[in-house]
Amino acid sequence: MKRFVQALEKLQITIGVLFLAVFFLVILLQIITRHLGISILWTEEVANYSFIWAIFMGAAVMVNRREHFNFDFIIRKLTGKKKVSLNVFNDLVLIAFNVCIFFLGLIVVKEFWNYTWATLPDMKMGYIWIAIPIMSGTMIIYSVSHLIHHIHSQKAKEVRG
Amino acid sequence: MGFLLLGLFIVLMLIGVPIAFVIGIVALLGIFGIPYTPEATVPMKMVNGLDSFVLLAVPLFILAANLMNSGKISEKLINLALALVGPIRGGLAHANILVSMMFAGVSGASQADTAGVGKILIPSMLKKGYDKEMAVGVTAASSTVGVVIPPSIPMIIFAGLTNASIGALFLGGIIPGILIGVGMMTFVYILAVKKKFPRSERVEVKEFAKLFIEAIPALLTPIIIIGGIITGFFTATEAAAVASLYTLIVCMFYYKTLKVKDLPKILMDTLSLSSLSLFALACASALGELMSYYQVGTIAQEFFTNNVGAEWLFIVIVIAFFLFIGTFMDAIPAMILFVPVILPTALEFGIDPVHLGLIVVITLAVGLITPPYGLCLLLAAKIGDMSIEKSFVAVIPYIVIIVIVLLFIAFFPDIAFYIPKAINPGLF
Repeated sequence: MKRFVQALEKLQITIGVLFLAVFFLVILLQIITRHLGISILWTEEVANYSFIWAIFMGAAVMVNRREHFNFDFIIRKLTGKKKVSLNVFNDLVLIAFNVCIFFLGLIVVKEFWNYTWATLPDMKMGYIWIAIPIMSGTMIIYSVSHLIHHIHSQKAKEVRG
Repeated sequence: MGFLLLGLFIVLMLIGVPIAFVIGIVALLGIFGIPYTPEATVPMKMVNGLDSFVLLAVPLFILAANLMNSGKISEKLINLALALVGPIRGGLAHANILVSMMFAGVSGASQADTAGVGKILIPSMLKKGYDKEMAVGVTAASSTVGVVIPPSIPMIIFAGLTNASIGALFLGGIIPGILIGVGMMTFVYILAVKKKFPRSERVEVKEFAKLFIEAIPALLTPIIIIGGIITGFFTATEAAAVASLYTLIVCMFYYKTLKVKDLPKILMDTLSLSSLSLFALACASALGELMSYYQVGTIAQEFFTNNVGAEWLFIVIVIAFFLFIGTFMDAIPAMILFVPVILPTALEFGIDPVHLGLIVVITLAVGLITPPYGLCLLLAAKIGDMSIEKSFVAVIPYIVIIVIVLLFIAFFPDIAFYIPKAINPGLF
């Protein structure tokens, strides 16, 4: 499980970074072509959609690294079983939210899959919408692995104690 | 319903659910409660919230700043600043403030300044006999000018929300930013005399010239960015890309301080930092949809016109509110949620959007150094190995300085408008 999560995280952040590089380069291309008087219509759309993918992939990785900001003063004050229970509860909250977003995202993907991009009719809107279930799906995986970790660490303590 | 959701918001936040998700959860439950609105609105709004070309400036400006740090441009700026103000008593602290102001001219993000400058200046300040409070306090506090002196990510977002002119906001930020910097330097000077902080040795003219010439490529960046935006040569987002490209080229080929193999890590750090606030923004735009369904903006406008007749009182309330929100929320989602709420009232009071923008952006800059969620404070405290509580006490005097400047700008906006009006009167 642990190795799978690590590999997943690495894959996901790599995808995110690639999309970041894409929109960076596309924006530069947009400036250059505009000043050369060549008109390329698709730059802004490609840049926007790559940006959405990059942010969603990054946000999921940040769930695994627990970088999303939260208040921790109550959690810090608690010890032992109470602390674990609250951590588990919070993981469950994230999982529940992401399960909703995952299924709602799938509805959106199905509904709008065949819509096409404004400037590139060969590209489907589905390619963009699918980033939502992928983001929330991976967030679920990361949260479940945290959940397992919390329960394991509590069990280990009980065995030792 | 509204109060129930507000209660849920507070409870979830307190028990430690990440704020971005709290926003998303409240949005989801709220939209579940509205008949005839498909629940799929939430994921759709999350995507729509990000689908705006302006926002691409966020990661790109962070990229420019990270490149500056990795490419050691920050060091060159520090050396120059030290040569300029080092001989004053408390020289390292003055240089810390001055370099933040230079850094601000390149980057639209403050955290990168705290990280880049703090890593170098906090240890050297401690070595030279400054106390920790001073080192951590001045590093964190001076970073706030990063979002006030142009370019500025929050200003770009504000302009996107209100259609205020980005050029006017950028130019309007120059004087407040300088005032904050000078105010902090004055405070540092008084403290330095009292506590007998050391000064650095005077640098010879020849040495100074060398440092200056070395820093020229870095110092040109703000001129390229601001000039390019104001002349309409490129948009704010494109300017951010140009700033990154320019920094990349300067570091790789001129200073030769960056190698291709350094890039993946820089890109990863950039994505990490930007995806945090932008994911919060995505969730905030879903909640914003809910708030506009309940017409929170109109309710606020009615409330303010009926109960708060005076413009000055409204401005004070706006400042107090954003100071509070800024303690636990990132500037970007805070603006997405609440600028649409206050904008109609501000317009009714006849407050210029550019003026409102300066007030909101400077107020939210304070949020960078107020706990629990003040990124610059957290970073500086970590580098200086000091507790958050003590670090916060150390930045309080600086917060007072920022608030004084803020009140000046709020009630005498012409101070800030001097530069934009002189350069382009058509902006207003």
